[in-house]
Amino acid sequence: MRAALVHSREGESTAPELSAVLEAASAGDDAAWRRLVEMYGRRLFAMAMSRCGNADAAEEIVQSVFATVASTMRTGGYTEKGRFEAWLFRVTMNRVRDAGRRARRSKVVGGLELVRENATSEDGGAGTDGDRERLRDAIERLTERDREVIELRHHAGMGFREMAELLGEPMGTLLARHHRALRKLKEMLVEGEEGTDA
Amino acid sequence: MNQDHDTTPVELRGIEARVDAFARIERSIPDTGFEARIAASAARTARGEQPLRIVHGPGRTPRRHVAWWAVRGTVAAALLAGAAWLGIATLASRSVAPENGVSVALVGDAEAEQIAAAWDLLADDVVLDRLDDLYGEAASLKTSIAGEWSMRSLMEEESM
Repeated sequence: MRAALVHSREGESTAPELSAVLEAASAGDDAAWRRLVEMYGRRLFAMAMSRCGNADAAEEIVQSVFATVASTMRTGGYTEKGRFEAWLFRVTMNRVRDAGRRARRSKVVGGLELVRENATSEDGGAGTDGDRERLRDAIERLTERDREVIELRHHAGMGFREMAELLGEPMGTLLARHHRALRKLKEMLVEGEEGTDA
Repeated sequence: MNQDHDTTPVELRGIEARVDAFARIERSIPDTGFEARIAASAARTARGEQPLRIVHGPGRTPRRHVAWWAVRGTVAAALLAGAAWLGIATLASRSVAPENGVSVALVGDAEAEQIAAAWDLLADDVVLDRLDDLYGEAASLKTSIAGEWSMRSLMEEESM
């Protein structure tokens, strides 16, 4: 099956290809599930990681999302109509919100250590450990709606069209919200850096 | 990953690039076995089998999680054995014979520091707390022996 798959970009597949993968996956095909996890696993992980800040907890969330998807497929609860991605990310968003609420109750900070472990000097512009911690902190301080659009856009790597479909909002609204969220992040980081300099 | 950067105002592209880079690091956190673990569990669920339970410990794999506790227990046992051996070895090699002829073992400061340093590596645990108590008592005894207290002074106190 793997040889038949054609990728247009990271984590993306064509609709007919995805349909074939989903059909095989619903029958419990190992290779099909591997392909689905390769397409979406790390994107879901990044969303979960953003909320709970702990790599182990984030992986458990991803596992539970895929278990839900598998269980629903097995019992015939999902019919492929080209909306798999929206459904998958909606399940993930619900889990991630729950995890975020739990994390706020019992502040888990182990993930910061893992980010440091995985960060290298070639981090593509994310800056030093301190920069990343400030950015993480700034994202946490965004409103729920602003944060959501940042996480879907950057952590999950979704396009605005897919986000509009998922959230049921016009693309223009999401673009404006995205700009507002970025502006807030920029302001918070500038304030933090000025505070550090002072 | 994102393709719509041209929709972002110029003044926000810097922060957008930073968030993108940050998210890329987040996606790189899982180890190479991540996809296999999640896929295996999902495939089992899809076949109606009991899903695999992923349990993480400090080593990020179940086996290492269990092994960590075993290691801690082993280290604790090794420390005890080491402390006992150290005492015996010191008794044999550096015993002192006071005037009253009673030999007492003295643990050198270097050895004591080594034990303390190794001890600091162990986290809190009921068993380890108990061992900590024992170590504390042993340290007190050592301090007493090394200090002014001696068998002679004890005998003098008893005779007073």
